Amino acid sequence: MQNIVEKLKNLKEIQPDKEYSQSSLSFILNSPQTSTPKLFKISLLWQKTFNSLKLSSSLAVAGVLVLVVFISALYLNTVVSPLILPGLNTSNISAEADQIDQSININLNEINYHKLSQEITQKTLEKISQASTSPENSDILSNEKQIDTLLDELIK
Amino acid sequence: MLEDEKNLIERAIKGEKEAFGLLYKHYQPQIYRFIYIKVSRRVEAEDLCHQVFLKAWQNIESFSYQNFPLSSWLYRIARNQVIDMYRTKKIELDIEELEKMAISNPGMEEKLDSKKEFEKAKSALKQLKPEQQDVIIMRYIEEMSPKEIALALKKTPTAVRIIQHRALKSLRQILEK
Repeated sequence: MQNIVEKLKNLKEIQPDKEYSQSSLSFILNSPQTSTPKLFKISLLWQKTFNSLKLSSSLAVAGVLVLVVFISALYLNTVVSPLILPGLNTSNISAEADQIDQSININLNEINYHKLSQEITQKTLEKISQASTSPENSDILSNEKQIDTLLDELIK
Repeated sequence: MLEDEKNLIERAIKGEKEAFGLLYKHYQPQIYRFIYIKVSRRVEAEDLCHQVFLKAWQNIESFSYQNFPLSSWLYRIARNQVIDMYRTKKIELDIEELEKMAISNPGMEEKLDSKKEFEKAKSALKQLKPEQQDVIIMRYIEEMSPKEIALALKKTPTAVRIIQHRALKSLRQILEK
């Protein structure tokens, strides 16, 4: 076995020609480096970032992400939840309905009041008109005229 | 691994030629060796090695340092290059090439027991399955750890050890013939 390994190690003496090596290198260095497509660059960066993360750091990052998602969900639940929307909240709806009911009742009371007052006014006007044409009233008016003339004379 | 490799890679990603040059000088010999042992021809090995580093320079931005070292990434590119080449054309072992290589590296022949010994080791290696070849080259020639090999071959370190064990067993049988 040792003999085989020794023989193999002798093959290490194989060396490239120096002139060839020099010209090959100068040719290589004078050729442009391939421009990598942007998408490939991004994927490489992504790959490198994840490769550099060890298991512990990966777990830490995952934990932070879970926390962020949980907090976001909690926030959304309290602020933008459909149950919070006035249109869908039952207590809000019943309060609003009560308010509308009250305003309807108020309006009905007003209508009743107006109707009643109109009736009273009408009756009163009728009474007045009837009263103005009665003979008792004409006597009173003549008496009043007499008083007026007497008063005028006194003033004079 | 190269000292301050991470910094060099970051600079190379920004397009700093000098930084990539340092990475090239450090890793090019071993990637070349890996390819050469698998294809056996100097010209093909040089061409493929050039392609590997050209691709590395053009796509270094997509290299993720946290996942695995640069050497594993380069071996992956090299493996794919060799597989692609074998899909398009079949290359046979060329002994002449081996001799040429030995001539171009004069110090090498002295260090080896003999050129034949070198040839024997290389041809034995060539008889293994491609996956076993990869593991043996990386483990015994480049002295990479099973973990690094596992990253380069997209396997588990245990699977690499099993492949290594089977490959050595096969190698012993081949060399004893």
